[in-house]
Amino acid sequence: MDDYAVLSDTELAAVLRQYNIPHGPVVGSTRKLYEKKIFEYETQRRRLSPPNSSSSFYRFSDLDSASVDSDMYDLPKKEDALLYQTKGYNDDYYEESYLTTRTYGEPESVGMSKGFRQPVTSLSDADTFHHQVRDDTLFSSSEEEGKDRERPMYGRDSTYQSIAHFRPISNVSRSSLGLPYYPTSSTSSVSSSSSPSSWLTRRAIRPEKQTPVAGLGQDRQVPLWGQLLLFLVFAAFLLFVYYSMQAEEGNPFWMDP
Amino acid sequence: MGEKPVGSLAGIGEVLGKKLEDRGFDKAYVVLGQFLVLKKDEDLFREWPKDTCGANAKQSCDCFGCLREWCDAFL
Repeated sequence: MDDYAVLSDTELAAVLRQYNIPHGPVVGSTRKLYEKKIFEYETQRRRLSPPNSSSSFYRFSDLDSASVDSDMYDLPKKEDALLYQTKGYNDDYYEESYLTTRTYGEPESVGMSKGFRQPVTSLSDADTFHHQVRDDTLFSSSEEEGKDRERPMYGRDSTYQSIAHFRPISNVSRSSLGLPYYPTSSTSSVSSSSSPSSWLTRRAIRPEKQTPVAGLGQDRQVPLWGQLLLFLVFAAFLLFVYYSMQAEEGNPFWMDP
Repeated sequence: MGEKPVGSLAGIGEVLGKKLEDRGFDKAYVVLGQFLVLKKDEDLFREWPKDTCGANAKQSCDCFGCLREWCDAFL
């Protein structure tokens, strides 16, 4: 990181521009921040540059990895924020660097970029539905990538294990379906390692958003109208019992005089 | 905003305010200046207090939100 200290302000700005890092003027108070950003960027790039570049996963990949990546711009912020909150992986720098890529202009730079650091929101049910659906679609496409990427993701398995905590249902169920030949212990890691990529493309599949909600409506054992009818019958029964228990006018004694 | 101290910003309490003052950010408008120099960028500005005074994510977020709203209203 000290290497950047020798660069002048304009040179530093040029490097920032080259890396497509959104920046403002390099002044005294901002210089250190930008140096840190460049350092993180290069660290990420070094860490993430694997031999295979098939994936949509790497945000610094120069490949135009498929149309899958193209619509990765509104990435799930919530889950990833939770993910990065729970890990003690690196410094906070690691977390922040992913945050910054959200504003990067490269269309092919995907990856775990956006808004990792928004910790405020909690998972809503709607989001879990999204992810369950998307896990399906993405598992098929990213299975291969998951396998390949397992090696380079070595450093991040601990990170991704935490995903399993937040998404036990979707991950475990999907992993058991999707990767039968893997032993269960590694399944979660594979699924989790590919699940960030699955998350990335997850949001893109917006039309499916409605279907899981609708689909769940059909899962009832008894139809809705049936349930309402039963409820009304039960209420009528209770009312009947109630009124019949009220004291009748007239002589409570049954005996004839 | 006037001459309000930096502790009047959301997310900046006594401890952080003191640290910022030590760094030279003694008034709220100086932090506003930093916010503007970072081009009101969320990512950059939310990282800055972490580096400068050790703020946590929530404090940075609050500070960012506070300044952004001020700018939206008055700038």
